[in-house]
Amino acid sequence: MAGALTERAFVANLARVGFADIRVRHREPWGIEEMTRNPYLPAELVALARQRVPAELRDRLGLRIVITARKPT
Amino acid sequence: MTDLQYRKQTQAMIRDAVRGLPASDVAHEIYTPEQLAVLPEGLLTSSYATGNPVAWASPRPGETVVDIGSGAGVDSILAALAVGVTGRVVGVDLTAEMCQAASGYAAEAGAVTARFVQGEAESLPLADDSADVVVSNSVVSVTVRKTRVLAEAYRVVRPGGRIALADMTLEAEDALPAEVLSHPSAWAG
Repeated sequence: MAGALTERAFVANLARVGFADIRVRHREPWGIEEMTRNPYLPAELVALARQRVPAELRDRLGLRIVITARKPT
Repeated sequence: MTDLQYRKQTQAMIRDAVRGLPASDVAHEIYTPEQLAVLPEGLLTSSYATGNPVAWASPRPGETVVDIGSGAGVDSILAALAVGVTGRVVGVDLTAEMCQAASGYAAEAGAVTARFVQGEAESLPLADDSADVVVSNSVVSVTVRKTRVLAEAYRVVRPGGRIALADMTLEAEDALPAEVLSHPSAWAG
């Protein structure tokens, strides 16, 4: 969760390593509830995150995305 | 904390977590009914997917697919069924437990060309230009050196090959409390 990139950074990193034709194929809001149902997060951290994220940002904290790209020939 | 220290801690947390993962109902939100129908029942509750990269990558018969962070094997199995007996799928996962579980599910699903090897996303145990397709699902975000993971994907896919990555992004970075942003387990998930 804390280590996730922004979509823009994700795309930029793909370009930086050499990929071309980078396209975001799917983009869907991924809010605090979805992010914190991740099993790798301990309960106390989940509680803290859910409690402290401002209400206006709860549903637009992140995105779930699918990106495609191609290695140039 | 340095990247390498984070890396060590997040990998330790992932290794611990996979020993007691709770059942998940995410698969039914992500995969198509046709895909769900060919997956073993037990596997469906082991998915923590954020997207359907195999559907976007559309592996073709005879192709070689690499699944970075293959977990319990959902995407590898779907890819193996798509590439058929003339193709090949290699799932790479951090833990031996997940590789073993995925191998069992692949056998159950009849995905005979899928094999699973233990390895790190940041250092894939695969040759250069050896894949037609690379997929990954909810993995880049749980690695510390993300550019390195993407560079590894670039290294193993052949020129003209394609990748499809599903993941979550954090668009309101300053919304998370500092304690969460600096906690190693929040980097592992």
